Amino acid sequence: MTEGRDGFTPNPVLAGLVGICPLIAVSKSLAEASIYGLGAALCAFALGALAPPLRTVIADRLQVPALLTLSSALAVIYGLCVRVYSPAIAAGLWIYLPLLAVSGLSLSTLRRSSFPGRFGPDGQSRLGAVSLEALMFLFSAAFVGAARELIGLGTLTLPAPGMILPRVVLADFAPLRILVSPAGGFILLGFVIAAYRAIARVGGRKLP
Amino acid sequence: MSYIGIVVTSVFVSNALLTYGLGSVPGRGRERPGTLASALALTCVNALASFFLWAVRNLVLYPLGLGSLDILFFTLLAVPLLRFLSRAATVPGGGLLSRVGEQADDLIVGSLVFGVALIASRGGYTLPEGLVASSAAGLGYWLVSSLLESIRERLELSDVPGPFKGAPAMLISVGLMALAFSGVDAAFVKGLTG
Amino acid sequence: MAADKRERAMENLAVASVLGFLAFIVGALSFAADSNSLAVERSAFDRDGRAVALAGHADDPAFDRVFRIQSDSSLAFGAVLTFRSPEGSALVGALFSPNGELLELRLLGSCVSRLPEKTQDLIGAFPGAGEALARAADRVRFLSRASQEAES
Repeated sequence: MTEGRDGFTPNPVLAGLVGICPLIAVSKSLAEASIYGLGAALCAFALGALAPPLRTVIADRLQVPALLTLSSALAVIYGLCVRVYSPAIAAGLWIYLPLLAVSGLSLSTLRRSSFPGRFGPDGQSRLGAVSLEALMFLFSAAFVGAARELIGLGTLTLPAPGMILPRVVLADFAPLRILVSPAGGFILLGFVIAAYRAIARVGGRKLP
Repeated sequence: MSYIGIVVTSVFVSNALLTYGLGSVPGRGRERPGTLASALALTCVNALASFFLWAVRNLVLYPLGLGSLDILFFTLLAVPLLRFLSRAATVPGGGLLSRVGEQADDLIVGSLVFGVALIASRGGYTLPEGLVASSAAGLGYWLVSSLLESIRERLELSDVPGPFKGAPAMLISVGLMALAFSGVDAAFVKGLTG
Repeated sequence: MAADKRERAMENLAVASVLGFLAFIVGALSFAADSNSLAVERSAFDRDGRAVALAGHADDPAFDRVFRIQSDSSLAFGAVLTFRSPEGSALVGALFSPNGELLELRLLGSCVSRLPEKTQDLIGAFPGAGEALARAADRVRFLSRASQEAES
């Protein structure tokens, strides 16, 4: 994702389609989606900070395996932290916590780090760009998770610590239960991306 | 569950893309999704990756109480080995093996291979069952991506409203396909195949 | 040429050492997280002055450990099971008799709302949940036989 001349950075999920498929699987509830989004954001930020200096030290032929292993280590550490924070959320996220090692955001951060220098061609700090994308990923994940749970089940599960997750019940029935299934997630995300494009177009932005 | 039941479950009930959200919406790789080379690449890479991860996790790490480090050792040991094998298969001059190697090289570092390997190693399968499940998961992904490629070609020729062109229309199509696949009931498959 | 090879070998060794150290740190954190999980699961069965001890580890997609629960009058085994479906997951504490018969099922935590209130319906809400219980019961029978043989 590159920043435009007018300072507009497209959303990595809604415009760049970064990491959308695993996101659909985890965004069944606000709690899971936000914890997953936070993990992807933290791993990407850590990689964005550590990868460029490491690339100057590690030989070219060893960079890819070393950085990939670093990404896996970060994903495992985050998974262990989530397990301690909330066993219920960790159980729900299952394989998707270790899969943060190869999340779209992490891989695009690693690709970006292969370019030399702290600043991009447009003068913006590369770490700043990674941080912005990571934050946008987190908010997009939380938004999609909240939308699916709210419209699908009429509740919002909050990402609190412990076994029992506090739940805000806003409807006495499940309005559109299909949205919490993977099928509904794909369909909802399609509409959300279309809405984002329409809004961006109205604002005069051209998206890829 | 019988091996046939595992295959049917991995292809339809627990499809890698439609149920678990692994992989990506097609149209990004070097090879078109519906070819024999892509089917072979998906099957072989998933089977090999699952074999390595199952062996590392269940034979070495879990007995030591380090089961959660499986992905770390997989990345350290298995990914370079898989890369080496895929590049060894990519011989100059083309041919099916070369195309399989190129396709496999694109797949190795991705959520599909990692995710299927994790499911095979943590899903309670024995080694032969895990190999069958992961190969079938690759085939299931190939089936879905082939169908979606056809849909994508039709959508490109259709008069789709502006904001829905491209990814949004594809995602809605994926969702409708997931809805169709979810009609295959796991209990029914188990009753039918044993 | 020999100097190049030596340099490459030293580079490989250096990177391998750093990654090994990283794996060591992650391994240490993994042990700490496991002991925390053990304490959390033990507390799920630690009620009314019962003695709860770890009976064994189980490499199962649904549960990691089986506990031996000794009260004044009876012996039981417990496991914290994870039921998963594409729509959500739930953590359930299951109590078994030594011959694997299910005695009690209690919802400990969940990441899916609108769960049925009755236990049997809770199991029905998760495809494959019956298999998880069957595997836990098998594990319990195996462990209780092993512990009885050890005592005799």
